[in-house]
Amino acid sequence: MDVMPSRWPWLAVLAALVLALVVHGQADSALPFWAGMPVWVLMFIALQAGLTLAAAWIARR
Amino acid sequence: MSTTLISACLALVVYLLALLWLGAQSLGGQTNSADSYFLADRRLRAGVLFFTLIATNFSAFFFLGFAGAGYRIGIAYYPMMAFGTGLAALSFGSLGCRVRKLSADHGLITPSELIGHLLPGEGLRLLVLAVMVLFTLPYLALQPLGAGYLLESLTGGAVPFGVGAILLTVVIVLYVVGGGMRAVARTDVLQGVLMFSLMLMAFMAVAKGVGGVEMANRTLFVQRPELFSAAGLGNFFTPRMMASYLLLWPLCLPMFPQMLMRFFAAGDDRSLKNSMVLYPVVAGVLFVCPVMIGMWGHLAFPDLVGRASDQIMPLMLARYSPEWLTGIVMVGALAAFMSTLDSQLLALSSMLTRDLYKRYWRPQASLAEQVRVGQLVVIALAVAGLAIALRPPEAILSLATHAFSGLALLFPMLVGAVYGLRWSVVGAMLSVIGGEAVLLGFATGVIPEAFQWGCLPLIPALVVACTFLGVDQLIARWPSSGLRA
Repeated sequence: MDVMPSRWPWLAVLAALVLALVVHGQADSALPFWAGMPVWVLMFIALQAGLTLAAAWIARR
Repeated sequence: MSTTLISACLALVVYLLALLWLGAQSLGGQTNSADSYFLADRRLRAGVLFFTLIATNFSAFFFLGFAGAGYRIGIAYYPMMAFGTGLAALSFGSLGCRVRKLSADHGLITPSELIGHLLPGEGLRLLVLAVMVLFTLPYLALQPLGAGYLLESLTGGAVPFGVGAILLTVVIVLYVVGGGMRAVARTDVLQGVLMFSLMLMAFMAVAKGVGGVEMANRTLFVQRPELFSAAGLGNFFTPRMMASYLLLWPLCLPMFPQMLMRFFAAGDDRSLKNSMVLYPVVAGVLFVCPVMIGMWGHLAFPDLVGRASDQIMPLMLARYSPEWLTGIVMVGALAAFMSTLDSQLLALSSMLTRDLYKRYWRPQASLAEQVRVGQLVVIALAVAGLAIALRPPEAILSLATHAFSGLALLFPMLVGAVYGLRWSVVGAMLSVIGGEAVLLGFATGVIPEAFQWGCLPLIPALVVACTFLGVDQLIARWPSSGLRA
């Protein structure tokens, strides 16, 4: 049975987009490196993973 | 003869023969109908659909341009491209599924037929056709231009630019004319696999050569810390510019006719949705490779200026990877060129055949006749593209730089119509024409740059386009609306 409002995964996408802009705006405070990459770039990679999960959520519908 | 040259020539010959073989395999099983030739009988599924979406979208800019941008801008280029592409892929499982159903239910083959089905008016159909052709043709012409230069440098000048451009175009024409979308999709699988694997091999080889990712990045951070900043070298990615680019990709990617027509050709919704999920993963993993190779270029070649930096990928490969690998990786770049060009040729051919020849010249044209005309149009477009590539006019190059924004301006009108908004003909046309006029105004300097508000010119153009559509809806919903036809 379909119980999830269809807009929820899209709200997750919107949240990921807003977070991406926030991370980009605050990147200078996340310049330290971890595993050879600036932390702000690693945050973007995590957001990319979140975007993939949101896509999978949309795809389930 | 160097090892690089021998490996490049061998890889090139094997690659071109494989393309022709795949094209020949696609000759059988065609029903000589427009659906069969232009859309592979609407049966592209799972892996084939995914690879054809990837190979069509990732042009040689992914191989050479990303590395150049990594050199000129820094790591900030990577999240912009990867996240933007991930956002764009969401249209596959949403817009793509709707478009697929509409096109399958009503036998639509081209984007103009789609808009003609959704909204009334010949003018609107022609406008969509004109915008798509106008912005795709120059982009198409850039492909043989780039491929010719790449082949010339790949063979150390043994194959001159003109000969290379013609050779590669002839191979593409042979398999596109012979097998249509079926051949294009099959070759896209080969080209996509080549692009993936060779890019990863290039990255591993160069990373090893520069002492590993961590050491190279730390060394580079000491020398050029601005390469790791969010704004990049020259403060390129201001927050507004970043937001503009993150908006540009989702709007323009589904408006490329060659991408939109892949929605038409999809066999089922599940395949489109699977591609939507895999796309951000692939973009996230692959895009970092050329950008970092380009950044590391500062360690070995610190003095490249302007467009010379687009050569950083072959330069780094020549410096850090085994000789045999350098030549083979450049064949991957060639695959990226060709996979985009063949899709553009087929998309434009179907549009000119169905939306001009059949609709206005020979409405009674049989399906077989449409296929024959489509094949002739592929040849004509290839010749036109070559002619432009051999002597590129300045206006064409300028048009190509605005292709993405120009196509993105179709998005509000077209996608709104697909989702059930019934624009008036006037409102829909004003939206597109108004948006394109603003874009033209910025390109020619008629509109001062200050009106861009620090964003891409697309943003104010989009505001104008959406304003026309908003006013159109307001008029339509006005209580005493006798204002509208």
